[in-house]
Amino acid sequence: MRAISTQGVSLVSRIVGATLGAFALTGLLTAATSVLLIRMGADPVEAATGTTIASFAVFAIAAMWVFHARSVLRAWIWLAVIGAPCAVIVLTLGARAAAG
Amino acid sequence: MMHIPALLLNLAGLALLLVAMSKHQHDWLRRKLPAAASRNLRAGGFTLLGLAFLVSVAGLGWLEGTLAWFGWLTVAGIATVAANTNRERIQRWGARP
Amino acid sequence: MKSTFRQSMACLHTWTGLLPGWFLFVIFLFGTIAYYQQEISHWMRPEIESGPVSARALDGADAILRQRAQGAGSWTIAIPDGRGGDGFTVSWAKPGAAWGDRTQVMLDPQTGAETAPRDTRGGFFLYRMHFDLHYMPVMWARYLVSLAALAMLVAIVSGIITHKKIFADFFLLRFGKGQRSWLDAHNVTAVMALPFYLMITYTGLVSLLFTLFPWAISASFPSEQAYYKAAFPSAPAAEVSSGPAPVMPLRDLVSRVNHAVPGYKAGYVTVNNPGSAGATLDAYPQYDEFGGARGSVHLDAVTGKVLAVPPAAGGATTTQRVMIDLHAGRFSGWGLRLLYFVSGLFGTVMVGTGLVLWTVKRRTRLPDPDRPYFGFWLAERLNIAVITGTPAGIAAYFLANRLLPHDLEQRADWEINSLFMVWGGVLVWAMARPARRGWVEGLSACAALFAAVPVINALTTPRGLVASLMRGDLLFAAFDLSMLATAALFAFAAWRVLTRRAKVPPRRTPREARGAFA
Repeated sequence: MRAISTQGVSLVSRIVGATLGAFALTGLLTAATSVLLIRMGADPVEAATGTTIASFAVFAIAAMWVFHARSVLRAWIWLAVIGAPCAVIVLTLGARAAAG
Repeated sequence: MMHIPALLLNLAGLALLLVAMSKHQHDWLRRKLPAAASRNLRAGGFTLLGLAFLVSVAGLGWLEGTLAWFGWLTVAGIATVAANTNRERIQRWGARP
Repeated sequence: MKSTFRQSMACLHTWTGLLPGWFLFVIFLFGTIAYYQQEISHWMRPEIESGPVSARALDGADAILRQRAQGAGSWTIAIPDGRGGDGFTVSWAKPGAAWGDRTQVMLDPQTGAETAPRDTRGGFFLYRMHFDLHYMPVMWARYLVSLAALAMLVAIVSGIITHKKIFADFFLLRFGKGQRSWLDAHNVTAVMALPFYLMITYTGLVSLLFTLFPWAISASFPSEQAYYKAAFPSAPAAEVSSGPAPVMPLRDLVSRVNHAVPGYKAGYVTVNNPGSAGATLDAYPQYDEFGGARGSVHLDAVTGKVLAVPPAAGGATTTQRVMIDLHAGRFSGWGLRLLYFVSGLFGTVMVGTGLVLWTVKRRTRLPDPDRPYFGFWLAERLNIAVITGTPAGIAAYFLANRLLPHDLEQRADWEINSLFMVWGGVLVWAMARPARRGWVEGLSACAALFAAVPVINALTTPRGLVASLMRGDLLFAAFDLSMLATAALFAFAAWRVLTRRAKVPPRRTPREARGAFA
């Protein structure tokens, strides 16, 4: 009984990770890349458009990877490890932060 | 009007690729061709697909030509699979006096 | 989940395919039909001839606007491209009036004379349904459609990984061999048009760019308005000139717009403050050229001086435009358009057979096929309702176009309501009937409705199939013939489902028989 419920929690966690987790990661990665490109001198419209065009491929890869990861915990840790610096970049270098 | 040659060349190319495979040689030709013949058939098949691409691009330009080539390849692929599925019926029909 | 990569991808393929599957079927079907939206619009307005807008017609529009729209705050002129179908319309409104209060007049594209065809949204509605759906806010619809497309992308890639063996020898694919026929139809349509599906799914997501992931904008711009200002620079504010001054002849204005940018063809023109010295013109292009200009051309409407042209697009923006053009295929000639349509149909069949496959695979494992668990029951009923109900609704839309009285209030809306009423009817019917009966009846209803379209067309208009063939009117003849072909396909499908009953294993026959009487 206990084994089943652990498995159930693990499956739900994996599904949430592969959908919402991958979604959040893609959003953060897209935003952070766009911000970095602009800091490196790219045109803002071009940067935002280009990174968002690529975002769908990023989501597909992230979703498949979380869904297949050996353990759900590891998948979540990796989502956090990649997502956190992106969030920091957006919060410190983003246009709204820069504008005050 | 490059659409019809593009379709026919794609169809012929896929037909050659089909009989270049030993399993299908057994089905369609009732014998296995030597390895060299199979290689030639495969090369011929790809050449015809390439020719279809050139014809398509020559007639419609790079963009429309490339898209049309993919499109006719899809149609030709489905036709080839349909023919392969109904092989026995086709062979019976072909063997009629 | 200690499974192989292939197994977990197979699982992912099943669920990302099934859950948005009904929705994807609808999106695919309407999108496929939308490749012929202008031809459908033409058929749905049988009172008028259609075609490219002539210079004479532009003069006609000019005269009507000058006579009847004096003192208006703005004029708009919608110029359909050479494929026609969409109306050549002018509209105007008093200064400060709401958009809905505009007076709109449709003109003959050849002569410029005022025409009043039946009130319909034509093929344009079918196109908008593809991504805006209906009876709901447009933004919600676009979220839903984008989410379904994203799931589709994952379903395609995981499907390729799961079934990569198929690609080694796809000649081993088969059609219609017994119990496997649904799987075969799914595989053949999936493999053969795979490049099309990848292209159409990805470019579809790009067409609704920033819907799902708007954060590159929020992180890169201080505000959303700042983004729009940078991406779509508005024209420089015209100096406010007082006093009256006549607008240049429309024909000359359009010609100046078209010469302002190479290859530009004005499609939607707005004249602001016509009649005053400060009148300006904004023109948006027709989109029937691949990678063509997108932004607006801005003129002084009194002198015809070009005030602004669209800025040169950078690499990413150009990529986005090219992808949108690839998706919509507006540039394509008749041959390529047919291929787009056929590939879209394959996609619709792929999604539909995939949905049926889910139930077929699970039915044999049911402990009691008469009392399936709720999820199975629901999936089976939704399959019938969506796969047979959507086409039935579209046929009803065409029939309503011919049958509704011309003076009906909000006639165009009632055409659309007819679509959804028939669709809802099929849904209720599918819930109430045994599954196999539901399939046969749904498919037969589609066959009957599509077969009725050319008949009703011949009875209610002078442009029936025979008359069109005699006149050499290829468009009307092709429309009626494709309705008959669709009807024949549905009749064939109904017949196949009906006769396949005899082939089910004897073990299940008594239950099937009981199900039939239930």
